[in-house]
Amino acid sequence: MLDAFIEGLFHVLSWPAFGFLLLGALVGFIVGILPGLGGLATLALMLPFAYKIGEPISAFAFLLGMHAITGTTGDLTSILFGIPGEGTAAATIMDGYPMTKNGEAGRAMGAALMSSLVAGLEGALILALAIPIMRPLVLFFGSPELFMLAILGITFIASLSGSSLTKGLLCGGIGLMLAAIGVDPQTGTLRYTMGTLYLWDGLSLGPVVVGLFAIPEIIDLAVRGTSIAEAKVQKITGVMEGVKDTFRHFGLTMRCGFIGAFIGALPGLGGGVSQWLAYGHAVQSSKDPSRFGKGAVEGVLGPGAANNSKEGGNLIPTVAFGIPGSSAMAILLGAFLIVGLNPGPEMLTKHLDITFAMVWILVVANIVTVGASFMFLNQLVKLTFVRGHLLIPFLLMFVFLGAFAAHNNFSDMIVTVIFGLVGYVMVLFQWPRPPFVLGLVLGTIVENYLWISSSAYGAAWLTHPTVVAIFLLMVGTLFYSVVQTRRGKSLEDTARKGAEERVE
Amino acid sequence: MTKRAIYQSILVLLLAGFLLMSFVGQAAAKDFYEGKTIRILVCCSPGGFYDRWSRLFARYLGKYIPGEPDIIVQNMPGAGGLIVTNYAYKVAKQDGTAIVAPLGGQYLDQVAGRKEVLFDFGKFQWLGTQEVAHSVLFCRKDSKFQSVEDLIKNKKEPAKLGNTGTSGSSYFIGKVLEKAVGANFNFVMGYPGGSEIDLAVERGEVACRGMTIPPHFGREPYLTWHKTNFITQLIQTGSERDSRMKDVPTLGEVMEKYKTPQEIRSIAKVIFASGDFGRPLGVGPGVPADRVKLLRTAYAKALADPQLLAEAEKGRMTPVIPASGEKVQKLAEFVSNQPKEVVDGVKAILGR
Repeated sequence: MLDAFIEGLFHVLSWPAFGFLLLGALVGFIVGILPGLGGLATLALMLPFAYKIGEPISAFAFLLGMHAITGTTGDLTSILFGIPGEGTAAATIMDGYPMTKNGEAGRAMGAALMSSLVAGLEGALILALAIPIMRPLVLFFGSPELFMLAILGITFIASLSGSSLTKGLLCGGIGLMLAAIGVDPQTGTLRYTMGTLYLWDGLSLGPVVVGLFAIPEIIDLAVRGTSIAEAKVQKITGVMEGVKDTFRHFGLTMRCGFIGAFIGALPGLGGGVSQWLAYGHAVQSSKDPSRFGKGAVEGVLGPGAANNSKEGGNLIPTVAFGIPGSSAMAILLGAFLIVGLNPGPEMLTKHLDITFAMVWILVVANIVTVGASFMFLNQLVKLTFVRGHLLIPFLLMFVFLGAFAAHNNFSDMIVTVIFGLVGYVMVLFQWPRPPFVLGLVLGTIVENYLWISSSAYGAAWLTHPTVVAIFLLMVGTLFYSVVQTRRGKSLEDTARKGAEERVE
Repeated sequence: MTKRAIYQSILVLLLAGFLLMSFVGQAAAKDFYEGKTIRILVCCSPGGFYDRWSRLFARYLGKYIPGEPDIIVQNMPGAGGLIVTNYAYKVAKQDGTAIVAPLGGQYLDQVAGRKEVLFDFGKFQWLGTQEVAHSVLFCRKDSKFQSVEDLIKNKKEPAKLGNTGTSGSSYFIGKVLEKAVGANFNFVMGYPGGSEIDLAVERGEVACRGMTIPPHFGREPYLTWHKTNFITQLIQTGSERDSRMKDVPTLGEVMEKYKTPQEIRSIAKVIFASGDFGRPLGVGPGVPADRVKLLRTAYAKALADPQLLAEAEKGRMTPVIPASGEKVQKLAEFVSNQPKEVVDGVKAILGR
């Protein structure tokens, strides 16, 4: 196995595979930076090149290299402009954009890129380590377990609620309710589609998130009449600072990387979930959760890490069963066939070197991009000091182009506008947006897997050991956070009393 | 000149005029496509077979259309394929620059009388289809369900059948078998996609799944499942047995054996006609006939292009079983015009 591991690296570094990797990374970078061109569509567009390339390693170097990068660069637009380059990069906005406003764009991007790199490596490592146990690992998590994981995700609403738990729960509830829109898979009944075809598939996450987060910021920018960065700093420092942050919070980065890889390995949960779980975990594990949403670097590290490690995780079911872990992997499966490979058990025996080469492609592509990004990050940061009025038209164009291009559907733009207004009102009255998104993302998953679990297992699934374990974990986490809040409060009270006493 | 001679010369003139006109028409159609861009509107997201076939045609169809237009693919997924079909019928320009690649079973929404349907499947002008995509029902080898008889017998613990929703082949096979031969199923609904059902089969969460035949022999995990004897195929929906499943009975044979009433057979025929549609390409009802003719010819030529066939082979988009535009047209007209009792039966089965 070690032979195959090293052989894989040599495959990737040899010519022309390495050249294709660089080319793929370049394309991925451009696509990731430009909203409107989705990573998925680009992958489909580039798939035919696999016919021409023909040789497996080079073809994967090109396609997988490209795909690995779109996640990384999507974070950059979230940080700089508050516009998620990809639907999966939305959680980075929560603290990345406030950091930019504080004049710390460089630091935030440094943190996003470095955590991406670290977690990308971690994801690759997890993939490598998982190879012998891949099949039982994936089979272990059935529908009841997925249901419980989604419920666990819902408990994160508590930590994402900010100052008011009641508002957070209400927002989460509304999110869950809106997730019910669309064709009901049980009976085919149309729910809340209001006579439109568009709503048959439910609210599409991309336009909702872009509207909810980007539009309020653009309105705010217009109202303020300044540049995005409020604090005038003389020298743009901080890219290295962000890199250092990654290592200051190394444990958090690794844990969030693990969350990303784990969720990625379970088909059925989807990429939208892991970033929010990672963000929620970052908030929950922080000593001072009140800093989040105002520019806490941990809030960038968490989702940044989860976004990249999920690629390694996604490959697990793809390679082990030939069952794609995500839509992007489904396209890559097409590439497997084109270059004459059978994804599936063969990939763990006869073609183990190619499997490891894929691991290395993820690693090398991440290193190359992060290295290249650092070279011109400072140029990008300058954009945040441009007067808002000059920037806004371009930002709006990006927002609507991004919303439209995902499905070529005009209604997506309407949804963006509606949720833009909703988002603005929510910001105005301090209603937290993350619980809403989390509810929307998890609602469908919870509903479907609850139905599947009960029709496939009756009530017996409630006693599955993993289900019970996740339940206990959930109760434990909730209990812990309640105790923490109480203790925090009582400490505050004591401090206040002490202060009052001193005054007296 | 006799009267007859006058009539004859008028006739000749008319014929010549007609020929000339049609020639001009052809030339006009030829000129028409020069410098134009054709869009192939696809029902589905990037990556699947519908998308991949469209992208393959986008690269080969153009060179067989006089004027060599550019061809681009536009994915318009949504509402179970209704968005793209409605768009192609009602909104897209009817000048032959919009080709639609709808779901093969899209007509079922029309037959079931869904009010959202704005198209008449029989009035699309079909260019043809490149494959036949009938369905197969399989169950795990280690389950109790190894034949249609087993499905009928096990009433207490019926076979768990994995489904995404109420419009997939898995659901259709299950429902038709219930109705036609009294098979019993526990429909486990709500999987996000086929991949998740496959995983559920792997871990034994469900025992059975229905799906279209081409991917069943074209990719993993099925290739391994065939090799390791992990599953048993119970029934297939084509009118003849697939060459790769010679010992698996067709639905027709099973219905014959169980003396299924003619009415239900007609219903089954309409539902599973989707298999004969495969993944068809068509243009809207208003496209001029000369352009349809050009496109049909180009489509047939592209499908005979050895390079295209080699790419299809490499991508396991096989077997390529072409059907002409005229043939698909007839089928589309057949399914669109069904007597009321069949329509009601289809509605009942689809639950709509």
